[in-house]
Amino acid sequence: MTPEYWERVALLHRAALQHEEDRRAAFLHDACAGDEDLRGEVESLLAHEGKAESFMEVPALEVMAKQLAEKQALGMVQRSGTKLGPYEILAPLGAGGMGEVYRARDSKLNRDVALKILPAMFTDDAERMARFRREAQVLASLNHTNIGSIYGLEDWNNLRVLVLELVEGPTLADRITGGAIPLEEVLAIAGQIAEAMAYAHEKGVTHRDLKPANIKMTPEGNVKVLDFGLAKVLEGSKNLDADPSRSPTFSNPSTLAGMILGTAAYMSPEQAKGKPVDKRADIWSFGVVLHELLAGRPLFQRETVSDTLAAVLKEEPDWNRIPVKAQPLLRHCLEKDPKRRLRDIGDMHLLLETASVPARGRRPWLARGTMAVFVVALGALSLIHFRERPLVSAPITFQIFPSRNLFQSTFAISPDGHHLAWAASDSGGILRLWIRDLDSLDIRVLSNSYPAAVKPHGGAPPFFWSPDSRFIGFQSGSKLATIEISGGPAQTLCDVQGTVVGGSWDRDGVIVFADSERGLMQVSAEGGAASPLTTLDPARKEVVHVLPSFLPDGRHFLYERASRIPENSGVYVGSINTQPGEQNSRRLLATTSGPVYVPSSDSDSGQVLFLRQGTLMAQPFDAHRLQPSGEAVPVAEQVGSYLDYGLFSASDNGVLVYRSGAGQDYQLTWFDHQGRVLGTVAEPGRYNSFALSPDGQRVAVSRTNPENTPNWDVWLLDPERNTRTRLTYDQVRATFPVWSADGTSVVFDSIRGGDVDLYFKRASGAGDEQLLLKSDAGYKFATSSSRDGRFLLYTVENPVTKADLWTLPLQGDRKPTPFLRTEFNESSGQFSPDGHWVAYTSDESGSDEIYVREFSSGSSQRSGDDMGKWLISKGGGTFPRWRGDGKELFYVASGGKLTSVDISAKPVFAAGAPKPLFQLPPGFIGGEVTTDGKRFLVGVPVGQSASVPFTVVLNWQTSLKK
Amino acid sequence: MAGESPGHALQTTALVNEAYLRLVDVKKVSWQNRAHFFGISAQLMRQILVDLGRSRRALKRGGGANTLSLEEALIVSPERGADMVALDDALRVLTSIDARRSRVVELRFFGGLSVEETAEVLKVSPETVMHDWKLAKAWLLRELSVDEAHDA
Repeated sequence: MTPEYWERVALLHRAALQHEEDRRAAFLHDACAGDEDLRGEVESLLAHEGKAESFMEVPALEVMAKQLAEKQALGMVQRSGTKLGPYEILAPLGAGGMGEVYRARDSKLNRDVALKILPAMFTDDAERMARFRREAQVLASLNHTNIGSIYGLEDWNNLRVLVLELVEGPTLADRITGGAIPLEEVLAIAGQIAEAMAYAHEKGVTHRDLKPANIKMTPEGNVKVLDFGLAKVLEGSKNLDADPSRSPTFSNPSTLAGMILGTAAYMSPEQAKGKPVDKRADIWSFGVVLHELLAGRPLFQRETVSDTLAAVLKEEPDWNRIPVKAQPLLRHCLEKDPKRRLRDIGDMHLLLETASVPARGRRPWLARGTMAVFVVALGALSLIHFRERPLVSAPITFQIFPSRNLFQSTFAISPDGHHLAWAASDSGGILRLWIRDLDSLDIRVLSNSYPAAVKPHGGAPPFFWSPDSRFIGFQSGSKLATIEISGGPAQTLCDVQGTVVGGSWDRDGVIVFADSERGLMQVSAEGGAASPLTTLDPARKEVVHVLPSFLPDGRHFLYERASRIPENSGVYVGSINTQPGEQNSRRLLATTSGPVYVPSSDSDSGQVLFLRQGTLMAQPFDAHRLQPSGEAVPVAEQVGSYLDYGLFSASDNGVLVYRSGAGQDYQLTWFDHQGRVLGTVAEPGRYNSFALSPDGQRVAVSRTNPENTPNWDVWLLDPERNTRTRLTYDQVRATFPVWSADGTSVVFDSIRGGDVDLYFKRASGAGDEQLLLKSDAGYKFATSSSRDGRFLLYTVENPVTKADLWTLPLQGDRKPTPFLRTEFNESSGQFSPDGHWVAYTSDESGSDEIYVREFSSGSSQRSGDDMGKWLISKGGGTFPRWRGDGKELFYVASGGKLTSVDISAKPVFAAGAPKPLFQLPPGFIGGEVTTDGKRFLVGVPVGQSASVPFTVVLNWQTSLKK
Repeated sequence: MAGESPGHALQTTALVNEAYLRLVDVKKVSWQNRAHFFGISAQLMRQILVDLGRSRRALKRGGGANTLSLEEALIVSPERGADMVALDDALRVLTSIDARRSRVVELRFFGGLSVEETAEVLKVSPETVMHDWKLAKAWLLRELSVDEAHDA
């Protein structure tokens, strides 16, 4: 199409429009003089004339503004905790065909409800709204035990919201995946649906969108039909484009979806043809549902919507799949001609052989009591899922809400998909393992679990299941242990040196686990000595090897290597038969969220699940050739992560569990000695570390603002002036701020140069970030400045000597000197105010304790030198902090209690007995104390961590065939 | 776009403010005449709205298992809507064969100018603008329908 040709088209188009419609064809025929292409082009443009009339007539701005207003309102709704009148949003329940649904708490009536947000496009026309209100009133008057109630209609902030009865429990769609269901049971279910339909039809209400996803089964055995009549009531919006001045040129696709009547597979033939429908359409849909329940497979559902509708219109159901007794009923329901179809659902019983169903007046379904026993015996949907083969081609998603005190923890689903286990801190700060059996509502605690010192962030490292789903492997103190989930004491397998960041257990009883200090190790599930499988390669600047996941051959496993060089970080394959130095070092996938290998039905291939910036991806993997094969596809969005690993877990049989993580915000909070809250500093933020200035007036924090800056930067908060000033502007992370003794600069660590080094910047903001210390020593961060301004204490992490304490003289030759370097972990070094002592945390005893050693400038301590070392804590301690006069030392005891110890330094050093002060909130970060020792600044987690549910997806792999 | 913290009213005014801020950023531009000003603001508006459309598209990926596919939405529902990004793409194609008519679309649809104002900016007669507008709309509508048929 050249501009010249186009001009000819334009000329003809303009001229043609000047003729009357019926004369245009003739005109063009003449004007084009045989050039058929030209004529075709002009005619095709003219053909769009009618629709073009209203196209783009409303300026983009107006349309967008309306949509944005709607989006903004929706955004607010999506934040749990938002209040819509008396309703408090708790969590999303899913997006159905007619808008998004949320679980909410009705604070007036003290019950949970479902809120359905109506498409906004729909709600602008006053007349339409009035009609909707009238119809909604009719629907609200439907009062039947088998029909989900409408409680009300709310107007809120550009949105119209329907308040509905919240029905817990699985839907029939979930039930169907398990396979064919016995006739008696189907009739019991059908009976209730029929009662609902009969009642509604008598009131003149047709459902029009009856399908398994709209039919719920409560735990008590009640069947409830949802969304009765809503389809018609919302349908009014379909005719919007009849009015050109109001046509929604750019509709929101979710609104579009909301205007659709019925999933094609359950639609009656007359609906599929676009004809008007009455209650007989419901009878058809009812027939399809019953057929699917009895046959255990979809009836008309095909690959595409057009194929599905064609099947509805033309294909005959396979009657061989249906028990003979039910055939007459179903034949009458599935009559394609509505005139010949069963008209009144109340006549249903006439079509069933009376022998199978006890007569009971006009509607002889099974007594509801029997039904209740039935369903309770069957349990919840997970039991259904565990029949032989899932038959429905779509994944099924539902949510589990854990107990309220869940905090930022790791979880794993058992390989057989029956049990979900997670680690959570209870209100006492104790980390425990919890188990939920998916086939019951039971949640229980494993009594002997995780006695761990409270680590920063309060979370637990990942644990792993045995292949028979009976045992869980986890770290307990400095040992690797297993515990049987049915109860019993934990069994120790072997020692570990660092943190167990994941493990995998194969069918031959071999366990591969990640020891953060050593690399991947191998041990027998019976116990014994662990032998190394991988070692950290310093040449590749490897930091840690984590999260192994066995492949089906039981010899090879995938795992993740993290390195300071980004190109070296990612997923690798290893083998239990290979020596540590010879493990394959070719990176298979670039990801740093922990790979999970999930087999598919054919054992030569499967998927590797990993996170890519919050999206869970599935990478097809050839387990035979040990390499990825094909493109990774997204599986779920907004999947959270905790430290370095993603919050997701998968079973061997198609169950995927994940949690959204919006990340964790903290509120800096002041506490007194009794643990009472005295006040807060600034608003909650995504912090990882903070430090109080020497004069106590400002707080330096390392924070990230996910919307703007994915990196961590140092900011200065001034509570007095209520200001927040950004200090670092680098493109890379700046964390662990420490103030200089005179309060004029802030030291922090950053990885700008490719290595983690110490930098500092003037607190006034003047000048650039300057390098303070660069060395090859490895990952380092500052912990304390001496009050005389002469030294900086910092921690260095070294592969051999692990965490060590070093000092940097801030004057003179500035040569860094190791202060305490042993084969154990020493960290959190804090100068005493007079500079003679250093308090620190060490795990030389096997667990973290607080010690104090003498400090004389320029001298190193030898590890064997026990003179001049005092143990301060008893039974575990971290985070030492001095009081301003050096006479009191505070620390966090294991279990999370802030504890104080009286110190006297003259004539000799002596420490008193630890005195517990108060329990810190689980998951706290940081910890600073004012000079007078009276107030403590702690980062308290805030936000929805407790109420973020687990999302469970059954048959998740069936969504991958794209 | 600006964040969606509660209280931040993303309405027409705010969008115009955003455009204004971007305009203000363009320093040292002397507004020679109305035409120039309108021309630039329409362009900016288009940019902003298309960017917004792109970021919303990104968010729509990965819907839950129970939502209908776009294909199902297209076939079963009588509505079809082009979205801002598709329009922008189509408009670029139109520009390559007909810069003036593409400009008419930009000024009228993105800039919100009337037929008379558009005629003034482009220095043609209002009748010409009317026809330009009709032709461009027909062409775009056809172009966008073809796109959707391909996606579906």
